[in-house]
Amino acid sequence: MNLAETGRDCVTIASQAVGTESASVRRKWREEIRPYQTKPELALPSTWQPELETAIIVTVRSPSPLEVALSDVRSARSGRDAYDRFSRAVSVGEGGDPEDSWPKLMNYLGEPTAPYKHLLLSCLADHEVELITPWVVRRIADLLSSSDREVARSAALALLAGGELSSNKLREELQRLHPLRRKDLEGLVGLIDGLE
Amino acid sequence: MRRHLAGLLREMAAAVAPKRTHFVRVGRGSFSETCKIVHAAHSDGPLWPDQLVASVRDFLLEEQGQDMSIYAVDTPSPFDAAHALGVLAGTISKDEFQARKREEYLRRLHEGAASNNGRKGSKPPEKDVFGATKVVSFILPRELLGGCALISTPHANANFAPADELHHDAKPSSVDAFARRLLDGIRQGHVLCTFLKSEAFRVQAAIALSACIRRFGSLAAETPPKTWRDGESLSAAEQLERLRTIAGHYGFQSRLDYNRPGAPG
Repeated sequence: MNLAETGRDCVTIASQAVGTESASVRRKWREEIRPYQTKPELALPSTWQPELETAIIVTVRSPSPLEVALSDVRSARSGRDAYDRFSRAVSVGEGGDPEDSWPKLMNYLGEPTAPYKHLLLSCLADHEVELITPWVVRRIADLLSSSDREVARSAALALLAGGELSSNKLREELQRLHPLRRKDLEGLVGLIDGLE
Repeated sequence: MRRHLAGLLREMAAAVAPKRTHFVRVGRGSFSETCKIVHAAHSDGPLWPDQLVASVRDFLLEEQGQDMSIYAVDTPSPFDAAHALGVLAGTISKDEFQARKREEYLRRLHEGAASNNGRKGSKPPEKDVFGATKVVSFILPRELLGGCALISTPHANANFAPADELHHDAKPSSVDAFARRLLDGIRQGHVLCTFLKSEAFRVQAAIALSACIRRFGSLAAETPPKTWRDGESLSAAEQLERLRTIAGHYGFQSRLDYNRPGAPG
């Protein structure tokens, strides 16, 4: 990895990973690495001596398109804009390993104040993203009983479109829901299922 | 006598002119969000929550002050050729129909034909990279557009020339009020929602291709006829190629080739 192209988030993540949110890492970023970000063709200064924290930075990957979308979706102008950002990120990430993105994605869905969570789930459903990791399926299934009805509806659609494991889980979880919520989600699922 | 004849001609023209009683609007972007809107129209409300109205604005309509593309149809039927032309006009410029994906689709089609020789293989079917589009179309009665400025705008039709004559721009005086009327219309059954998953979408493309052949002739040549104009971002040739591929034209052709004299089968 070219250190000069490493984003600030990577520096922070790396230093947090070893429990050393240190001033020296931040200083190195500000004074030595950031100036080179606009000139990636340049080599790092020969005087630059990596320390423990910065050695770890080298192994940190760049944020995926999905992670970038999650971090900047708060500035979306509308739901449509937010959806388009998620959609681009999911399209780009379809060829990659989804295991890399799931923890970030689940953290986002679990964050109480995160905006447009229902659109992220709808986007997964639209792209028919396969949900084959049991803990991911479980976390999305937990959202079926969310106090936000839009999130619950989108979670049902993501599970329905996510393959056999997740659609089985959806049907199992529907039986455990409050009757009103169950009726609502069964109506929505029936609408989509009837199209098969 | 001449005046009488002119009056008669006007009456005849009015009798055969399209009625324009309905208009097609194609959902934008998210199939799931559009399905949720239809579901909510039947199960929430009729006091429509603001979040739902915003969702209708985001995924079915346009922002306040922007023109909304709709396509005229004479009958409220998804099998009306005008409906199919409108659906194609509203979707043909999507990224998933890019030439690169078309090549991938054709490669798989030829590989499948070569390896299976027409028989069903044991491999599970791969995801259709080209024809996996899912959209919802809404057939709106003219009365629902009462509060809209409605103008016939053939040249504002972006990327599918055969639908030029059907294209209209509608500009509601209030998008949110129109969104509420639309939700009322869906709830009351005045607005016909058609869910087009991949197979149904392919059928729409086949209906549209058939309408184009009827209008332009066989369309067998590589280049489209001169009256088929280039679009904003898609050339006339690219429009026709996309339409052919979505409609399954190439799969159909390969089966026709298979039946040539001397070929096996």
